[in-house]
Amino acid sequence: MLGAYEYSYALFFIRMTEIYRKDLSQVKVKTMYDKRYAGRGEKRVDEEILLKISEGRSHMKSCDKCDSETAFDSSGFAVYMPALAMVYTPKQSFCDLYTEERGLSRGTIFPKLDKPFLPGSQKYVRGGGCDGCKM
Amino acid sequence: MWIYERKLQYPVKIKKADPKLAQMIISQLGGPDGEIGASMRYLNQRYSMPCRSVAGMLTDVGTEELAHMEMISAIIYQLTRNLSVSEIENSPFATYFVDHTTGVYPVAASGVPYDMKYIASKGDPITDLHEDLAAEQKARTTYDNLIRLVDDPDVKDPLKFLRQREVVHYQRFAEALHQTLDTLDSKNYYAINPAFDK
Amino acid sequence: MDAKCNCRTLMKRIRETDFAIVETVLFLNSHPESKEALAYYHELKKKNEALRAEYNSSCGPLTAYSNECENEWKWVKMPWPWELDSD
Repeated sequence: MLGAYEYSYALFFIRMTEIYRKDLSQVKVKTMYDKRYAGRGEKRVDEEILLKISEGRSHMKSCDKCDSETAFDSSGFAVYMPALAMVYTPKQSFCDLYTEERGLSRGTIFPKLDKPFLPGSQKYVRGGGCDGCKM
Repeated sequence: MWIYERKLQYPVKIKKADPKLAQMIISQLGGPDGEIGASMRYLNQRYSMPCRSVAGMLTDVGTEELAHMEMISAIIYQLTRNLSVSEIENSPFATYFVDHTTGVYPVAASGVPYDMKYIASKGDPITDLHEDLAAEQKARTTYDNLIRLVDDPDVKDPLKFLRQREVVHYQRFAEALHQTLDTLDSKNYYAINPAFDK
Repeated sequence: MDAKCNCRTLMKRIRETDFAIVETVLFLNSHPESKEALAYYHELKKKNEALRAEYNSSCGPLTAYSNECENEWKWVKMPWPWELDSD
């Protein structure tokens, strides 16, 4: 049974990629979802679920302003993902750790969470972001 | 219950006393975004978490914050060792000295003592976890400010360690929030308070 | 290597393995199904227990419950961790 993260990514990538239909029982999602999850031993989205997602979409009135999709999990419950009025963070994987010695000195064993304070370093600033932004 | 170990999570070995730094760094002990507040917040919120894994996260992070509280106290202790009266009277530390000598007493840099009003425990898991996310960011910003103001590498080093811990805790609380959300209906996460409503 | 130096080295290794354990514990709390994290936890636990046993017997007790000396109450005879001459 997949959790909230997997559904939110599945929907995001479905929107971003084409869905190829071979027959009604063979729905595949191209590229981005596969690249993200392939080789990590994680389940791909069930094809049954993908079918329901595409059926669910066909029941929706399409409009340019619609900002969330309805999908269904394997029990047939509607999954409103990503839901409005809630924050999201990607789930971390357990790989590529620092050695014990380096981990203690950096304050984390996870290089991907190692985010030092670098005031004056323009490298991490992207200008032109928001209206009225002074940067 | 808690067991005490005779070790600091990260070593504190400050060779040069400096009461001016002590007066600023003490905010991470008794200030609004300090380690005492963090540990009290998480250790009190954990009781109303329906997910055992989330209660576990709050217990374990809250316990780690007690260890951080100890590190800050060790920094204050070492920064105020063997001071002469003239070193004290010519520094912003003088006002603290009047009431506490060189003892450790949790106050903010402003001199306001620690106040439990700095924390919230709302008894709603989504609310409490959002408070925790914000708390970790506020602590990180406070460490950013202290790191700006400190030149001594013996002092900067443990502060950088403590700052990095806030970043990791933030990620963990975000994951804990999602563990909680996975038990709720994504159509409306706010329909009930899972700690109270049935 | 003299005794004090050995204790400093042991304490450094204990801090490093303890910290890796804390990080792995927090990860496991939000990823309880992770086999890799659980395997790493057990690998660290073995290393850590051996280091602690050695420290407790040759340097002094790490907790009030691990005092092995039968002739004296070492718990209060060693520097506390905020003191500069602690390990």
